[in-house]
Amino acid sequence: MRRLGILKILLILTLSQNRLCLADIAIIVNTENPISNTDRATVSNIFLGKVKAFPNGELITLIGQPEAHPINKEFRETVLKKTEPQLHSYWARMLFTGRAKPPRSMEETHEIIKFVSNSSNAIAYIDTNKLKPEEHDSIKVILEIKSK
Amino acid sequence: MRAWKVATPSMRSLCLKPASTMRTSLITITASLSCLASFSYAEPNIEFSGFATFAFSSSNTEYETDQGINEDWSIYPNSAVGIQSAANLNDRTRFILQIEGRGHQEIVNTGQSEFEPDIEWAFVHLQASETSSFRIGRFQNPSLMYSDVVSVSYAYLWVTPPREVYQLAPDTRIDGLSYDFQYFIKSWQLGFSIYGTTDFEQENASIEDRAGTVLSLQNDQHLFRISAAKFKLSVDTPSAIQNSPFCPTKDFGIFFGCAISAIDNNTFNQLNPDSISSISNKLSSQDMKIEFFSLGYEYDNSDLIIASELSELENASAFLHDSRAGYLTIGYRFNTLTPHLTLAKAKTTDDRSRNFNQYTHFTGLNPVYAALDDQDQNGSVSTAEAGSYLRSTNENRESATLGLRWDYAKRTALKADFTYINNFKDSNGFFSEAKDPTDKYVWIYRLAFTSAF
Repeated sequence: MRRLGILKILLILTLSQNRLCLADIAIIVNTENPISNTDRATVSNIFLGKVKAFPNGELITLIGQPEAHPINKEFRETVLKKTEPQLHSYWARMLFTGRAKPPRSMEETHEIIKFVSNSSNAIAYIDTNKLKPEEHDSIKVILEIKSK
Repeated sequence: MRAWKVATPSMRSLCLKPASTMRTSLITITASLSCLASFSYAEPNIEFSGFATFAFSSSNTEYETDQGINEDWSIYPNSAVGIQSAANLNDRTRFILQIEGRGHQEIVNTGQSEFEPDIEWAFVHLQASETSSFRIGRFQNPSLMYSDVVSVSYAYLWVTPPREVYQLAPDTRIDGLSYDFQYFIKSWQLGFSIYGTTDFEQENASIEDRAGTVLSLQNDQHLFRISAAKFKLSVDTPSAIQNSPFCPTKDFGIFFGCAISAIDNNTFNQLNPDSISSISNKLSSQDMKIEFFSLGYEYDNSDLIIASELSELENASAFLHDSRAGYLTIGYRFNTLTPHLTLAKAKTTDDRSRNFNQYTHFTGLNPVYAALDDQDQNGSVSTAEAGSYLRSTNENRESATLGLRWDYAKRTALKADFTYINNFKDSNGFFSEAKDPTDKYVWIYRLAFTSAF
């Protein structure tokens, strides 16, 4: 019984550690963007280069994050619902037929926020926890996705 | 697919200088004009990307099978290296240039095996509105689901898409104009594309009045696709046939070149040039109206992959095949390993029109008989062989391909496909060269390293 209890604690600890590794995702746009909220499927279509423009006609600039970044994996699995090789194959198909190009990658969250706050046609995904209170007013969050 | 961006020097820094530092001089005017210029365009940049596939192919036969593959391992079929540059001229206009070196295996009478670098894509993409765009220039034929990325093996499952269907694709590249429309209905994307091309002429042959359309519906997991194309093909002289300069090059597609090439090598090489000329002229190789249709479906839920295409090619000439082909592929991703199985079938559908015995009353073919009889008298070919020749253009085959894709590292994969082909029904099985009629089955092996970067 006691052994079971220890196992239970270890399991909880393991799960909670995993939980800590996962991040909530915020989809952000410029404050002038007419979109106030959206859904996962639309965000997926945007970040797969299928949707080219916002409803106001402005062509979209996609901002991504480096592949090694944990938020990137979370975004790919939760929003795009693709494995890494699957996504690479997809972009090979899109890029070499000239249909679309992958998101422009930016290293730091504050760099992304700064870019989106200055670009009316930009859209990006960031780790919600890295959004500082003073940055809230400079961008607009149109979708929050909780990690699984 | 990482795109390296080469930023050109920005003019904005000049424009942001405090006005007080500027003098009302020629320099100021020049700087102002520069500012206007920089505000007229989005920050220009050029992006580079590339792909490479090194494939090794072989078969268990001495004669050439698909793509000229025989028992000698060769790097030429299915290998390709490409570099693409994309220049964003402004936020609505992009220029894409792609130079590819594709491997061309020597096929009978077509010359040497080689890597032939050429411009495969060179077009301006104009995003006219949220839903509409145009492409002007050179791009790849979208007749089939993967026909515009055949060179980029990294983009799909097999080493090369199933030959049964892809050998029927009427061409690979197009010089012309394309209008693309897309519309979203909830999470479904409806796509419509229509294209027209300039007339194309090559030595002794030409393509005219070419146009096509593609209709597609897709969401996260499903893709449904219908396409149709039509054009007129003219082959002027028998020498064009005999040399088959466009087999397997991209200009007329593998199907036409190889079909004609197979005819040559089965029988026509034994005839004298005058006889060939006589036969060819009477078989009306001018303005052959060709129509192509295809249906496609793809499913991918990140684990299970299903892909299937059916295609049909029809033409008014008895000289070229009417053909129908299809395949079904099922694959499953186990992390980085994706085993897959493909069943495919292809057959000519106008065999009756080439039945030798049917034409004994058809005067249009009398010169063919006469020419062949001449040869018969010279002891080189018989009318029985003539019948054999006509029947030899009927084709049939079925195949099963077992393959494995291993995405062992980022943007790189190793692939192995083993294809078993049988059920030839006494035909040549769409092969490049005359097959040994006693062979009941043929194996083709393809191994590849492929990458996109």
